[in-house]
Order: sequence, then structure tokens, then C-alpha cells
Amino acid sequence: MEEKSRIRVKLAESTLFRKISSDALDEIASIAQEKFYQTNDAIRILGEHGDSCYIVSSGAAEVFTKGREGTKFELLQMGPGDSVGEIALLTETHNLGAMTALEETTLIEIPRNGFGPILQRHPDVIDAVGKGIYQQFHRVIPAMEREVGRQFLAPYMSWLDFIIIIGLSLIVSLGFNKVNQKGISLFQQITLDEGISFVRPLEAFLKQKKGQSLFVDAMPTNFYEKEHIQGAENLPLTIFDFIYDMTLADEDKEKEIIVYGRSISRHYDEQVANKLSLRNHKNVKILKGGLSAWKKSGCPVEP
Amino acid sequence: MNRIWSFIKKIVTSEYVALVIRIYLGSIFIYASMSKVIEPAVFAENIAGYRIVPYWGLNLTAIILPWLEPICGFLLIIGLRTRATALILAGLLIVFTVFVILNILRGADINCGCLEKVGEPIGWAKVAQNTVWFIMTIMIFFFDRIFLFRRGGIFSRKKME
Repeated sequence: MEEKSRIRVKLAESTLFRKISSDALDEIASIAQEKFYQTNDAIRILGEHGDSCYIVSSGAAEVFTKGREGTKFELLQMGPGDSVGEIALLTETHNLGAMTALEETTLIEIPRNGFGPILQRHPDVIDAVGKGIYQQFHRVIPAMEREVGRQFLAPYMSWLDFIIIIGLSLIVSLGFNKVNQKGISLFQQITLDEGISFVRPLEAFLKQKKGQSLFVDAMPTNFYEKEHIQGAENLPLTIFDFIYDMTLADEDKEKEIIVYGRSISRHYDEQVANKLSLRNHKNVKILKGGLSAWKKSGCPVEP
Repeated sequence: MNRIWSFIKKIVTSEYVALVIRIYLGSIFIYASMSKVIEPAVFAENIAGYRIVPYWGLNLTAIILPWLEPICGFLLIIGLRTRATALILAGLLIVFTVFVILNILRGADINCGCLEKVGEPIGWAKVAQNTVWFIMTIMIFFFDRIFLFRRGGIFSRKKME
């Protein structure tokens, strides 16, 4: 009885039935029932046989359908007092929109089965349902227009697009590099000057202990500061001239200089060795295997 | 909570938002290329700092990459072949982000070389920025629909039949 009283109150407050007679409300409440849904519960499935009208008693629900590309688009958001499925009270139909609970929701379900006699006895109910259907269209059509306006074709894409974009970049970049005064060669090519040779780490270590050689670290300064051979001078390639004038310009040209410093991307040691050779240093050697070989041989480094 | 989520979804899937993002991202990549196109030697030095690109490919990368960026940026702005362009940029951003993360983990104190020649150190902020841009390319790929360069010009909209 309590449930029926509750249903009757909610029916009287609903947009659909608020203006019908008290007797009609009693009869509709007698065939209606409350249904409870959790968040995201499916209330109606798109395309399924529809035989009930729903009025939201509490909570919120969403009515939506699917577009051509299968994308979901929303038709209605429903709150307390709103109704959906009025047509199902009059005739057999299929659900044109699916319905999902947006939060914990209580609905009043009014089945078509048993509603026919109520319509015959209460003409004001026919009027109310007719107005409900009209208002439904009134709410849904703008939403559909809005969504249809969004259903433009996705941009076209094919493998040719990638070939053209990357191919165009190749052509333009290589062409520009050719005419650019600051252009660079396509591949790094370093030809070592005659007279530059390689020295193995242990041999270099012995020379270091005897103080026979000067060690030069050709890596960029931030790498030198992380670790370098004890006593090595940092002579980065990018600022070679500036640092050379400050540190090695007055050094004996016959003194042996061992250069190291290369990575997977750059052979700084070879380029710096060439530059030293151009500055008339006669005894330039490159540490074979670089700093990693030096460390593998157990030779000391410092930060 | 669901209404907030529904609102966020509306914004994320909006073709107008995708349009704004497309123009923004296109401008960013054109700007990013400007300093690198003129001086490939400096950009090559930036790439070398990552210690990932092999010796034989360093100069080629420094020459080609700065042109791929503005071409893709231009295509995004005018709305031509935006899906393919967005995918290419997404791929580039993944590669850049992986390079940055690897060097952060190595403790390398290097210049990013992404937008400026110097004064742009790598860090987690750069990773976050690249991630946001990557998400933008995905949004362009899925939701970009309007003011696209098709037959009929930039203002035509081809509706579904």
C-alpha cells in the first residue's frame, strides 16, 4: 500500500499526468510499479520491444541512440517527473532510444497491458498521453538536429598520404640543404690526418702514470663533468678554438696527446684529433675504444 | 559524477575543439622547426647529445626532421590529410618522449632541441608536454571533422549520405 501511495504521489507530480483526474491517477497507480536501478544500469535496450512508459521518480537517466558510424549520441537527459515511452502506452512499438541510469534511479513503470481500459474510462488520460508524445518530439528534434550536424564524414586517409608527406619532406629537406650555406653533409665522414694513430687503454694508462702524455676529453662539457679520465682536459668540439687558446696553445707541439670521447652518434675524438693535428701537434693519438674501454680495463676515472 | 563525465566527453569529442587543437598543434610544429631548418649542424649536435641516433643517421635526421615538422604543421592548419598528418606527428612525439625519458633515467644534462636551439633542458615537464601534444594528435585523428581541405575548398563540409 505504501508503494502504491508513493507511486500515486509521483504520478501526480509528473509532467505527463499532473493534470488528470484523481480517479484516473488511482487506476494508473494500481497497475504501475516502482523499479530501482544502479548507476549505468540499462533500463531500455535500443530496438527491443517496448511495452511500457517510464516516469523518473528520483535520480537521473539518459536516453540515447546510435549514429551511422556507431557513435552514441544523446537525445534526452531525464530527471524527476520526466517521462519516456508514452507511445508504448497506445500501441506496440520498438524502442527508438536506449536508456541508462546516470545515478541511482527509481522509475515508475506503467505497462501497456492494463492501460487500455483506463484510456476508455478517462478521456483526459488520452489527452495527457497525446500531449506527452508531442512534448517528447519537441525535446528530441533539436537534439537530433544538433547531433546530425556533427555527423560529418571523417577525413579520408590512405597509405598514399604517408608516402606523399614523407616523400615531400625528403625532397624539400635535401634540396634546401644543398642550397643552404649552413647545410651539412648527408653522412658524417671523417678522414683522420696522417700521423694520428690509436693507443690501447692499458698502454695509455702506463703513459699516464709516467706523466708522458696529455689526455684530452673531446666530449661536451656536461658529459665531461659526469666522469672523465683523471687529469684529462676538456676540449669540446663545439668550442674547440676558444678552449684551445686558453689551455693548449702554449703546449709543446711534440708532446704526446691522447684524445678520447665518442658516442653512438658522434666521434668527437677523431674530429678533435684532426683539429689538434692542424694546429701542428705532431704526436696525436686516439684512445682505442674510448672511455668505456678505459673503464673496462680497470683504469680510474673521476667525476 | 556521470554528468561531469558526460560533459567532459562532449568537449573531448567536439569537432570544434579538434579544430582549435589542430591549428594550435600545427603552429607549434611550424615554430619548432624554424631554428632547426636553417642550422642543421646545431640541431645535429642536439640530437647527438641524446646518444641514441647512430653515427650514420645523425646528419640525415638533422636535415630531414626539421622539414617534416613544418610540412605536417602546415597540413594541419589548412586541414589537408589531417589524419595521416596527426598519425605521423603522434609517431614523432612517441619517439621524442622515449628519447627524453631514456636520457632522464641516464641522468644526462642535455638540451632538448625541441623548440629552441639552446636553453631548453630535458625533464619530466617536457615529457608531460609531449604527452599532452600526443593526446591532441589522437583527438585530431578521431574527432576532426570541419574546415577541412576537400574538393570544394576549405569551407565545404561533406555530410554523410
